[in-house]
Amino acid sequence: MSSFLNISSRTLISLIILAIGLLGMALALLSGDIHRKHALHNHELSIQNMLQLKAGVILDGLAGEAAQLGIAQQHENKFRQYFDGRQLAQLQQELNIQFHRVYTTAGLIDLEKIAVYDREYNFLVESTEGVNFLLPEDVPCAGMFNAARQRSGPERIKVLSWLCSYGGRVYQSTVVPVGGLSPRGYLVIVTDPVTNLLKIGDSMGMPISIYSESGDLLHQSAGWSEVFSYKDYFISESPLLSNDNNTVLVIKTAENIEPLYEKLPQTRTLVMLGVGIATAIAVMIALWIMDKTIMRPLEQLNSGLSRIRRDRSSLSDKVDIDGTREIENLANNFNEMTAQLSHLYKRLESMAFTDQLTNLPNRYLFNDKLRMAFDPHKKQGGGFALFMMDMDKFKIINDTLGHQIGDKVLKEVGVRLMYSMRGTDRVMRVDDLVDDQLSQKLVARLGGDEFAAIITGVNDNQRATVVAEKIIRAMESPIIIDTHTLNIGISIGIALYPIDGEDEVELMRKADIALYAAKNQRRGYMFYDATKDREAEDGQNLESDLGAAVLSKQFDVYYQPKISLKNGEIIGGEALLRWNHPTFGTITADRFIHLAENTGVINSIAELVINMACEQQSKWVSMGRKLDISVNVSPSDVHSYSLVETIKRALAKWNTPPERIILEVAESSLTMDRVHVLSVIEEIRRMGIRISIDDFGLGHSSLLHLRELPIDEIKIDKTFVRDIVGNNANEAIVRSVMVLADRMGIDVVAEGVESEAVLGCLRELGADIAQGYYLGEPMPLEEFESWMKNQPMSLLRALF
Amino acid sequence: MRDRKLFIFAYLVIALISESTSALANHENGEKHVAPDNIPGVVKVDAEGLITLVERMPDLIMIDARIAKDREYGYIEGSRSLPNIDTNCETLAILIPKKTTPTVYYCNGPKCGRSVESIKIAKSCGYSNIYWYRGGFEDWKDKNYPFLKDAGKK
Repeated sequence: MSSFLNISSRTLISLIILAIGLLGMALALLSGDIHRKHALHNHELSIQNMLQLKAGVILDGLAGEAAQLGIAQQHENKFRQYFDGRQLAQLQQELNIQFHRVYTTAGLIDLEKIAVYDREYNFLVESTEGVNFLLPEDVPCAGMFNAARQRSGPERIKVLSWLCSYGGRVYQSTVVPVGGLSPRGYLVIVTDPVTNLLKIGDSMGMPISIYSESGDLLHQSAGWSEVFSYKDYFISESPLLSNDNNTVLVIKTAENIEPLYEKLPQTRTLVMLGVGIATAIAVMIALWIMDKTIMRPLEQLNSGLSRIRRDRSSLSDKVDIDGTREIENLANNFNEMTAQLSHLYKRLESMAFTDQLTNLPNRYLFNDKLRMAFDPHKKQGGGFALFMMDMDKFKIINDTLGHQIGDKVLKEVGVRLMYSMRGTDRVMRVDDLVDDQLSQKLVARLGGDEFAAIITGVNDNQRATVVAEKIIRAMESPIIIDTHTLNIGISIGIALYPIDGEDEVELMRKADIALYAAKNQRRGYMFYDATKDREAEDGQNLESDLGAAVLSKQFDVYYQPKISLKNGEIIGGEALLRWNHPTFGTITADRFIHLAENTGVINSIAELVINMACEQQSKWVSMGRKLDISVNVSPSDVHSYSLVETIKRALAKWNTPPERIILEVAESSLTMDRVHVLSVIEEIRRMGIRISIDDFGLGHSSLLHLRELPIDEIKIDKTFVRDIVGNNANEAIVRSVMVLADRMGIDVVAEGVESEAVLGCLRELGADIAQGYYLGEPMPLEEFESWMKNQPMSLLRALF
Repeated sequence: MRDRKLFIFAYLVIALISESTSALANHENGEKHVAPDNIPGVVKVDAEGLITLVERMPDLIMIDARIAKDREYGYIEGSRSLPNIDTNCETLAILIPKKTTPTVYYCNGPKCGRSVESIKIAKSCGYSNIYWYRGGFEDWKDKNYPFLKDAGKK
């Protein structure tokens, strides 16, 4: 809104009404002026009417006087005698006598001429006294004779009187019949009516002046010139018409209207005052109505709004308002909006503390609960266990199958966690170690594939183990999503309160360390162990250093010899990656590979090691050495077709014969999205590279399924080999694997040969190839080269 | 008791006075004669009506019911003087040829009862075709209709 309208509605409305009031005043004044003009015009009309009337009366009176004169004259004996005898000279003399008598005595009329006509209105004689007209027989208003002739009935003998102008003057001519019911002739009495008309001024109480038709002043009354000394005067003109409808006279009246004009300002002030008061009342009424119907409801709305701003919980409060329809609509919409906002706010609140994917509490709520979990249990001495959990292969799922599948996995994991925590598992009653009634469990998703749980009432290893194992079992069965059958492991780090820590930060940190330990050691769950604390901290640092390490190639390849047990020959070396950390020194792969998987640099590391292996193999080929190089790739590598490209490029770059490269794939890599992984492996195998199954026996691969795998070699995990001596079960496993592999034409490598006894046992079992510290530890390239020169003899000694 | 007698006396005096004054008023009213508006069986005419009658009926008889002195100041042309006081069946018969001859009567005006008197007599004598100019000579003069005056008299 523009700034000039930035005033209150009250002021605005007041201004508008004031403007209307001013307009009203102006209109009143204007219409007053118009009305005044109209009134003056009406006044003039009424004066004209009055003048006409008065003039009519005066002229009638004058005609009457003339008739009286005419009647009186014809009753004179002499007149009758001369008229009847047509003695015109004597008659003229008689007329002159009569003229004189009337002129001198009567004074009522200004006699101008007496004329006598016969019964056919033919001129007989006229008085020589009076004015002389142009012609001897002439008389003003000659037209009246025609009118007189055309009369009939009673009109025939009536007196006829006309007003006419003649020779610049005005005359009234009156025809009086001579005789009785049948006239014998006519007398015409000519008079000047002006003097008589002047009496109009007296009777109307105002001065008048009389003008001829041509505008010559004929007469004016005494007070006429006085009028013009007044400040305000009013002159009205009234024409006087002849009988043949010509203007013969104009009578002007003058009026002093000073008093009227003196009263005008007074009236004007009164009008203004009235309009002003009316406007003020209108303003007050309008303001009152506006206040009641608009301002007060608006203020109510406004206070409703500020109440909501102060306190969001009053969002759902309804504002009840009486006002105009618009205001009520506004209030209704306002209420509807706040209701929706209230709903939305509640949802937002729940969203803020709930993980939308799994519907589990999120990190904020979890931290809150964790903080709250501390205090009461210190007093009760109950304590609780904090579980930090992490999916083992989640990143791979996400990277290879996409986030949608990943999300579904997380959802399922959430459900399983909840289910396993519910504690209704009656079969798993472990001496009431975990009292479900007393134990409260809270599972939360902290983000990504990180989950956490607080289990109150559990504060020792034994009882925590029960819960952890339940969780791990819950995750054992594969998760089936769409066409994918996914085996997902979970790692759990456990910290106990009050044993492991006094506050949530410490406890969380320790649970995290335990989790890392569990991951590194590929155990399902681990408790916090103070001795491993340091390592875990390193792990955290390493993770952040990895990226830089790849870029600056802080890696070396160590080679561990693979020995043929048949002839003691060195048939190859397993390329093992070592990280030359600037501060921590040499770090083995098992300590940083899982970190690389977490951060995503694993692909770069794979590329690095493959290239180094290919390069070395080319050198050996050129030197004439016939050695295989085994390269390890991580589970996430074999999920990606980019591994195929990487290998292709490396082979081409170093011109390496593929049959001298063996790709070692961990058995666990095959359990997840098996079909896809196998297609990648087959692609690689088609290049001529041999595939080896590493850590065989740890995973879930059934021996029966081995035949379906496109592989060339099996490496039996060291856990079986290490303890083979005197352990019938392990010996049986190793033997059956060797038998099976032999039948399928697959090489078997026994890992973890760390003693002579193991070596002897393996030889008894008829193992072909072995690897282990006892035979040769991983060595840098130079050492490995010199070892190969010197060692064969001692090896052979050891073997045979 | 004296007061009571005085009261009765005064009452009687007042009653007598009021009685006599009302009688006096009645007498005065009787002297002021005003002609009736209409006479049954008689056609009333005004000045113009009279002129029309004269024009249309050549055998019309116009009778001036005024006394001779009044007639000296003027009379309507064609009228014959027969004052009401001289009016009877014989005098009427002299002036009017037949009982059915149209006859118009006038006197000085509404305040003059002579024409009314004459018409009553004429009716009683059996005259039937009677007109009455109620306005009379006064009205005629007022309307500036011409009238005659006998010569030699002022």
